[in-house]
Amino acid sequence: MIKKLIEMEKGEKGKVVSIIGGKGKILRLAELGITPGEEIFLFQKSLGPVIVKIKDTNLALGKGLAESILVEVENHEKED
Amino acid sequence: MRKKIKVALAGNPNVGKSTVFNQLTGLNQHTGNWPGKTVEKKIGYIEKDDYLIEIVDLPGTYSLTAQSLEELIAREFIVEEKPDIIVLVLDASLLERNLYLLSQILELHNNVILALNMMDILESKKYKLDIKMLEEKLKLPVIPMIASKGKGLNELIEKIIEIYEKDNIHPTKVKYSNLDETIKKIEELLPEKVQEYPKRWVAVKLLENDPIMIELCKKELKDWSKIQELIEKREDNPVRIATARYEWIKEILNGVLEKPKKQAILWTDKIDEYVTHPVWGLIIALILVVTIFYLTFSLNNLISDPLENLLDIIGKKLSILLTFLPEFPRRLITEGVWQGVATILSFTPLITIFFFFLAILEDTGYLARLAFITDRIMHSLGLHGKSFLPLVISFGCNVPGVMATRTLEDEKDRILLIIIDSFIPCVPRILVASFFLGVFFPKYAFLLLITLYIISFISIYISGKLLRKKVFKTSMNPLLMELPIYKIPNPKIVLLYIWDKLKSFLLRAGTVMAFLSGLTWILANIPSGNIENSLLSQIGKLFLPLVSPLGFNWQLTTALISGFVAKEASLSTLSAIYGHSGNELGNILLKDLSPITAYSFVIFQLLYIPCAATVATIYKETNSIKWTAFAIFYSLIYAYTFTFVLYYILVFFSSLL
Repeated sequence: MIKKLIEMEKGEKGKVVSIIGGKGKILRLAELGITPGEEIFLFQKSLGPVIVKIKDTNLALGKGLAESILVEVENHEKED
Repeated sequence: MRKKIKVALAGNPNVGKSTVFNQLTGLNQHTGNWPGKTVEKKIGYIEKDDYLIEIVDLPGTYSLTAQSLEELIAREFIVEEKPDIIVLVLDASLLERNLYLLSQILELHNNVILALNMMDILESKKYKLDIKMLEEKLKLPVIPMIASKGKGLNELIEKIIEIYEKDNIHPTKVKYSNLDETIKKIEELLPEKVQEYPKRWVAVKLLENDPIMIELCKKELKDWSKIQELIEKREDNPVRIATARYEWIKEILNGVLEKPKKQAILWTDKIDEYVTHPVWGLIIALILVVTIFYLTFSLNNLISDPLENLLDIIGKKLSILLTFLPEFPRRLITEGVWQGVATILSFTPLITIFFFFLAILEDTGYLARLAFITDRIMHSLGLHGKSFLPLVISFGCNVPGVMATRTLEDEKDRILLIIIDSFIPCVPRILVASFFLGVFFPKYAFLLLITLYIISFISIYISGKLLRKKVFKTSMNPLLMELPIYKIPNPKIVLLYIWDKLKSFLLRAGTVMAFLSGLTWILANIPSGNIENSLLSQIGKLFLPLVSPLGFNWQLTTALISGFVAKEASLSTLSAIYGHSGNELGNILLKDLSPITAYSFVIFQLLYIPCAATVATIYKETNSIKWTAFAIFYSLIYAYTFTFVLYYILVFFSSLL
């Protein structure tokens, strides 16, 4: 199932599918390790920003960025 | 003759680069700014045998694209200053992402030494790294290190000398798999070098849509349209380049780095479960920040009294020493210039204590978590999460508040925060306000005091939005930040950090403050020692037409001008002019001013020009007369406009009553 990063639940894992936005933003994220195909884990959710684990790093991402990253989430037992 | 080796220290943020720098150079370093920039530049020296090694600490960056000022500074330095050797500091436990920067540096420079820092964390993660094989695959020297414990430093210095003498490094070329062909085609259309940049590097940067390289090539090359066609063929070229670099890194690390099947759970993650939690995290943050605020200012109060006594004694001694001078220059030096210097010196305990806490917050890694936790709140004010601590500390005093803005990476964010920081009412301003509110509104003083804080937040909000849109012309940088692993701070590094900040503050802010304070003294004492007919009050009267619509008299205006030196000075100036102080001064003011004027005065003194010590600090931090002047005039104009509107709203409503 493909979700926006911001819609993921805490503790969910998945693979980055794509990033929506301008070239600069996409490159900036790529430089920090967020590239299509990469495994991503949602470590913490707050009122807006999130923390993900990607390429061994913990990254904090603002709400806007978390909205523009699409993730193929690993299948869960319960799907809604 | 000593041989001089020029070394540039590069690396990602949070890899312990400044620890490596400080451990290598110790006190043998000095701090300045990159020419024309607000970004700090550090240069340090090592003397070893017949060599003098000069180490320039480049700003910490993830990449060398021109997306930020830091990246631009780093790459321009490498290309223009041509260091003999680049030492790239890497976090051994985050090699995959850290080698990304290497892939770009290798296209600019051959003599690269990899300083593989944080080997202890690599071990605690149970990763296995074959350093020999890494050296062979990259064809680069690799030095394993634990910089915080001083391990690997001597080996690094010896390697620097060895590489300098041999100068025969030919590192592995970065490959871009299916993009290599396009890169070659672009290379063929390029001259050997575009300015100082090698053509392969330029070709890759063009594909990455690097704005500065594109501008440069557009101007310098005839064949631009052909190149443009190649780079614009595919919209996703930048991300393809990034992906290709990671593929190259994967290939390098294949067989070199072995991760355990099951990742060890780090204690950093266990702590972060609570510290970054939306509820617990906020509680922890509030407790920590309040504690730091309380400790900073209460410890400072303990030390500042004896320090001020000491400074007084020195002032008196100075005045005795200078008895050979005529009265005017003697008093100018002792009451003007020396008072300014003494004011800056009296900040020493405050800055030392606060920067002790700041160093600990930064070095442990907590500062990044604080920014994450407060990002939502700060966002509603139109600011970055990292603005939280500078703003909070400003409630005590704007000087450390302005200095703390250096934790913001983006230059525009930082200058913006410096400017609006001074709208936070510091303690001396609240003292002046309390006096006026107590005299004019004895029953409602406390309530009205709260309105000051509300007005200060409104002003921060309005100014933040306005300046971002009209002056800086940037949208807000979204939060995107690494949360480094928690570490125990190294005492030597913390002390060096405090010493470095204190030294540059005393030297640079001290000079500016001595000048400002001397100038104000001259204005208050020309033509005679009587403040009533002094130049200062003349200026006060000059501004009268401007401020009389607010009901201000020349006495208030003069008080405001002298309040520039120190906010609390406006009260003593009023006492000097009226010849009374305390309750008697209050009674006179009650007769002279309407309550609305008094409240407007309180608001005006809250918002107008930051005090001289803050102005001196703003100059020190921005390293720019332009921005310092802007900060002064902006707050002045804003204060006037705000107070003006407020005054007439209040007059209107009071006429209805």
